[in-house]
Amino acid sequence: MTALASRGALRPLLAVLVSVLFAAPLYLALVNVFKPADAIRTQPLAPPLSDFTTANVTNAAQLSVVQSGLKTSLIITVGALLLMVPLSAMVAYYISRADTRVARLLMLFLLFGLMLPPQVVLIPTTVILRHLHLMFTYWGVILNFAAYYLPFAVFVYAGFLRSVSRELDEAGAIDGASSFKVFWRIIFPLMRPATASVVVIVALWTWNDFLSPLIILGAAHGVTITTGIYLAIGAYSIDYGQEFGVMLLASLPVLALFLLLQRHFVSGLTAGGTKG
Amino acid sequence: MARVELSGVTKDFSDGVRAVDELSLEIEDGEFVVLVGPSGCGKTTALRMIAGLESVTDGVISIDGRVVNDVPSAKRDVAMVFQNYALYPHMTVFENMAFGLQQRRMPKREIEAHVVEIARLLELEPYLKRKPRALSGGQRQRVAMGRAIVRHPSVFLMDEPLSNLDAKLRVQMRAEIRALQRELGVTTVYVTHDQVEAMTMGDRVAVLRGGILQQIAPPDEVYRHPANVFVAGFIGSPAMNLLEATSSAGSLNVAGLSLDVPQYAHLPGDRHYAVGIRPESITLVPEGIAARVIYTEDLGAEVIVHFLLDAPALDTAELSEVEEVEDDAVLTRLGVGGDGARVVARLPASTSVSVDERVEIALDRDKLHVFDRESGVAVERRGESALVA
Amino acid sequence: MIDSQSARWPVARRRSSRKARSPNLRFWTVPSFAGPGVVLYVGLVFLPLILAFAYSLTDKNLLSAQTGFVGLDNYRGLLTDDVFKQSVKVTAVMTALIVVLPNALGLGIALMLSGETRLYAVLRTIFFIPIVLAGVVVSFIWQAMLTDYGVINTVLGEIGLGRFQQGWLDTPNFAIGSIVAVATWQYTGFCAVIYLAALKAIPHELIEAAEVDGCTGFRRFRRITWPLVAPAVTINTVLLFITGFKLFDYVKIITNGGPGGSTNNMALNIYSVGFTQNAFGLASAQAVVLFAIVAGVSSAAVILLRRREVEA
Repeated sequence: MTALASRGALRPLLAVLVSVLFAAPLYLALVNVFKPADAIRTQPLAPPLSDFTTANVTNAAQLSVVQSGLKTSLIITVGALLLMVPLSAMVAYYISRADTRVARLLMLFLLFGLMLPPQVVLIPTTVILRHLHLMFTYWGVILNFAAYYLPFAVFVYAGFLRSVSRELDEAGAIDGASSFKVFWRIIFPLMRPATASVVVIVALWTWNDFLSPLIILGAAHGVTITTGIYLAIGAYSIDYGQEFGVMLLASLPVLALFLLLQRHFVSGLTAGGTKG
Repeated sequence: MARVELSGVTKDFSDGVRAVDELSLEIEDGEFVVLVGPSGCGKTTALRMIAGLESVTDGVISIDGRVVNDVPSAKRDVAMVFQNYALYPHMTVFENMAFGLQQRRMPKREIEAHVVEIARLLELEPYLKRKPRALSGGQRQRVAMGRAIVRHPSVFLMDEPLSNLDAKLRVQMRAEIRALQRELGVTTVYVTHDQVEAMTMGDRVAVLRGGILQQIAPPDEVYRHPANVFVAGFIGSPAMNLLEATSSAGSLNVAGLSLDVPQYAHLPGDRHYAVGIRPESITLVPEGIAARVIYTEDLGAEVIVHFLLDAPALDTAELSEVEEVEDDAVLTRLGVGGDGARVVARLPASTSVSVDERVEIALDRDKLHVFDRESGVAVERRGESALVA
Repeated sequence: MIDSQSARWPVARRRSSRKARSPNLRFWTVPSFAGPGVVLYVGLVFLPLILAFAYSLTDKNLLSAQTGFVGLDNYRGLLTDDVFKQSVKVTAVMTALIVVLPNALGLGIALMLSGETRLYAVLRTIFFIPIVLAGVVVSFIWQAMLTDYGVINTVLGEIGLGRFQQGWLDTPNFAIGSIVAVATWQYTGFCAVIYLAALKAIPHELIEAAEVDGCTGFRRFRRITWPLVAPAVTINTVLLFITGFKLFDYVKIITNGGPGGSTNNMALNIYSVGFTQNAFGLASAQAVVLFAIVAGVSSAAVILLRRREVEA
């Protein structure tokens, strides 16, 4: 392994080299956003020095499909989070405080869901949503995402709750607070790091998913930005510049969120790392 | 303002451990009762049952005449100070103290008035806007107290509130807590493992061991008339010395000496007893019980001397929970002294003895305690005037 | 007067764990807390799973009005369904590669970039960014690179390595390789994140002690680093396994199962059968098989690898 290279100047050099190679596709995308169409075709890798243009981005931003797509993505992602965060936190609270066999079984039952590939349940989900008259609605997609990512959130919250002392629950109870009050006013505020992790990770997954909105919402009723991109690819005469512009716009929100909450992203993923 | 009554209260945990065994006691309105005992004796469990944090397996707990076994904590009108304070980390001192009042739907203005008043009392006013992590241990402890006091509950419950403080602060807080409680007149149940705290703070002291109440009485009663060997050894520092003894023809045979003790002349003969004598009741005499000095501690104001007697040691297996006796055991294991009964005495500062010196000691006959060897229960002293203790 | 219980000599007890039911239990652990979340999960995750099982036993088709029970016919049909069998093979090959490549590379990257300086922090971020990108975005970018006149071929031509130019997506082997490359690109950073956290968790004293004892380089890695990183290997392996089976975005967008079905994995096949051919029943049967494999192997892997961790 590269542990051998862990000394001296060799390591940083190697690191930079590998990183540069790895970043090439990113560089490619970024660089070509700011070049006019012909320059892209002829010199894909050249940086936009003389022909720098923001036309691609502005054009992309003005596309109605982009504007509505971003709006739809936002609605769905925020909606799913608003629904899922409180629900999953409450489930995790129950599981971690109850300490009964039922609670443990419930946790296992939920972990099951982590292993589920979405294709397995996508079709039946549409059937259920149809019965609930929620097909082709925002709510349908929101419920779908909230349900699907609930197990992950519960897992992260339950792990975190282990470090929240039970004495706080007790003090709250003695102070006269009902169970809901104890949870919402004392415990939940203390779970902020876990909430940050859950939010950044699930927002990422929800925003980037193009299949669920495609099937459940249906192109005719609304399109998320990623679904929009999917539908646009395949169109002939691709204006690469504009496409890259669209993709930049599509990626910026999650990228920003990620960079902001990077620490929590990592801790949320590794919460699984230590507990398995 | 309330009486607290425990009646045959028993607590079994799901793994079979019986933490509290048929505990019955009554705490009067406004009384400060201390539950004391070694760790694992059930005192904290008993407290938590009064608080409603543990369920009651058997027996009845009532507060102010109302049976509260199934009443949730929120409705019992009790306030608790936790050993680790359990302050809400994300709330300011003010919010911590106000929380309980907010649950009662008290108007904001009133809450503010109450909190400020108590904060002033506890000298916490400058810290009202701070969060717990910005406070020292002593300050946090006071916030925990403030949170409990501000609710004006019927009962204060305190679970070793001083054990996380340094020694000097602890002494100071002891006095403050007691003074506060007297001023507020709230019934208080206080749990500690420190018998000094128990003796200095409590109106009455309840000694527990293995979930069973050993004795409940005012401090001086517990000190002068311990109900059994455990209480005798647990209360008082250094611990009471215990020796094997037999009785015959109206006198006690202790450590090779036959003592004529009128108060115990009534004891049936040829029985085995354990005799207790506190360290301060031992003196050096020209002729008495032979003893060899094995260790001395010069404390300035007095000298603590450890002796070895030419008499068999009392089997201290049963008293293993008493810390001091453990220290002796440690000394034995380290090879200090040898086989034989060990006795600790508090001697005046002028005493000068050296290790391995052979001396004679006398036991103050008026201060002897006699316990049945089998059961450990104290034997009644006869012919006692109010002044003899 | 002495007010006491008869003082017995109790037997010394051992303190054990306290698991009691306080009167507050029905209070802060009320099942209704968990209720809404569980209902949501059961309704839109568990129930669909049951339904999937149910549909797999029918010939449900979106276009036809009638749905008939066909028992295990769908499953029996799979045994002779060449397209399905190929999809299983494709999935197996891809997953096998995906479990190994990003995993190993991720470990290497983690080791290489585990330094404290600013430089390393920046480089690490570069590796994390692909995780954040949408599958469609990644697919699009790579498609632009992999097509016949795409970036890779263009660049190869320009730097004089024209003979390496390929139809990267035109032949089965290269197509599979391309897909695996894309997946590796996106998930190496993910594995690195997990490994970096594991590496950070190694107590510094162990490393220092090893240095003092003269145990360095590869030896140190094998004796100290590797065993403590083992749990992370388990996590990554299982997660990559699940990811490999779930792979959809790339195969749909970049190759659409081609050429000639060589990148048609199970997930894509389920989609085609279910949504393009509208054969819900059949698609469900394939989905059930997919699930069985994923659940079965993940559970087994977790148990097996967990055991190895304990020994290590």
